[in-house]
Amino acid sequence: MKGRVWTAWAATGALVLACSAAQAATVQAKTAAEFLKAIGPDTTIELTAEAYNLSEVPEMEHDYVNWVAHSPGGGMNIVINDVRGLKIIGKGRVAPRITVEASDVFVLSFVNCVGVLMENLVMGHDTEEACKDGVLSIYGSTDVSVSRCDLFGSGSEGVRLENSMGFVMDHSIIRECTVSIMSIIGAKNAVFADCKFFNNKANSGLVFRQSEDIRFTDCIVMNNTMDSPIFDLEGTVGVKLLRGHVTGNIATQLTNSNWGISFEGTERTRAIVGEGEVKV
Amino acid sequence: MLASLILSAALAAAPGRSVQAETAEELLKAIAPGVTIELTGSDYNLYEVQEFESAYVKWVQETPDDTAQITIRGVYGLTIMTKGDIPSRLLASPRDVFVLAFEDCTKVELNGLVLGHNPEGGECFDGVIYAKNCRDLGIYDSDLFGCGTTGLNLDNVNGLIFDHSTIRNCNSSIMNVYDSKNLKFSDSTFFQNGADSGFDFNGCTGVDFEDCIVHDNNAGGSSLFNVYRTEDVHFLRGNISGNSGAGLVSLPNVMVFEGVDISKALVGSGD
Repeated sequence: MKGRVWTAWAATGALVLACSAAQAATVQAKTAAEFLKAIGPDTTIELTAEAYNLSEVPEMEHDYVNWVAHSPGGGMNIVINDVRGLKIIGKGRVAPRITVEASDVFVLSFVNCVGVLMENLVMGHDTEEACKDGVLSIYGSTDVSVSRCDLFGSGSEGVRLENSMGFVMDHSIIRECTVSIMSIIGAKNAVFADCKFFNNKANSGLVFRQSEDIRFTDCIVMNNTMDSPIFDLEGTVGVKLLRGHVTGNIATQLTNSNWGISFEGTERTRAIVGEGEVKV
Repeated sequence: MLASLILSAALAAAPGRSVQAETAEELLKAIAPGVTIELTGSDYNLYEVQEFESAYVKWVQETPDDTAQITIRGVYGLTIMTKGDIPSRLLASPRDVFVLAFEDCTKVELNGLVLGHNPEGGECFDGVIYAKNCRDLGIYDSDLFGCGTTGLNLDNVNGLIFDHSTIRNCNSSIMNVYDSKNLKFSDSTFFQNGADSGFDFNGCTGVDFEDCIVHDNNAGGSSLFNVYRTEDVHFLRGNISGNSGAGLVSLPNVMVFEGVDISKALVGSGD
């Protein structure tokens, strides 16, 4: 049995390596148009400029990028679809900014993607209006990673993760969002490590629906305002916080679930300030 | 001088010794050069330990009315770390002492610890960690909490790495640093501190912040970064927001901010 597993693993590994060796490409993008044109499978896109305003890019024919309006007359969401092995890396000491001008679109959306990495980026809306959509939307995707990124509002939410598996966010920030911090819907096996969620003034906090095995390690949830529990669970099990802090939030309660969420070594004595106190 | 160099070389070459400590007394008694102390317990109330004779741990009482400060002296190559997943807590019940103090130490590392006064909250008259005449200190994955007056109080320290750690809820300032150099703060968060000042650097050179978050601190009538006789201070990436104080930096042209938005660094009158 052990031998069979090893052989299968080795064969898969060899296939992956062969594919990677055959197709991997690195492209440098200095403009938003170059960035969007470069999106494709097994591609590493290095962003070398300071700013990328995606709203300046006209719609184009593209196998892996679509412009989709959620409502008639609404803003056009830039949707990256059916891509495997895409890396978007901000180069340099200062993270490049990826922005959109319309308030009713996500900055970037991913549909049916596998193995995507975003690293060292600042992403948000460049508008004075209150936003109706968020920063990152990930739907039907596997193994999408966000590393050392700053997701800022007024995006409605930092991350919307739907029907996806294996999402990882590390050393990243979600701040100043206006509807919720994140929505995790129908997702499995997500990890948030060394992340900070702060200064979001929203209706909701961290929202989980029909999801399982969502882990937070060494994360800080602080100074957020909401009209709901900080950890709002429905039909969700296996939300685990290891270490980290929950502090200084204005919320109705810490969580509305007694059994779907656990805290281990998480400092939460000041989880809620003001009239509220920690209510589990 | 030669003897000192030979001793240093011998210590550097000597293999480290690991000791497990389950109680505060075991922890303090294990402190010695070249030792890694693995903490297997939960809470370590250091000031419940009876004073004992040790070459490296001293109880220093400045005036008869003061609590004697537990001070680790003259140690080279000491590591104190949590063994498991949940950080061990090093606690001080008296409010007029630092939780840990180091003097004349080199290569000391604290890893995966929670340090503060117990019970949490209230009012303290000293801070969390004090270090004087030390070199190459490392604080990793640790949480320094108040009511300690300050998270860090450094005097003549050459070489500090403060990584993936927090300073929070201190009741006077975030840190007071005097005559020190080569200090690096990375991936760390400083929040809900102060009332008197924020980061105080006096006579310092070479201070780097990378990917740090400074949020919701109150520097009172001082600037958030109160710098005096200090040069070469950099703040790279990260976030500074929602703090209050008289200003961001007390003197112009001392600090360089790169890749960090300082437009919301201060709220209210110091905006």
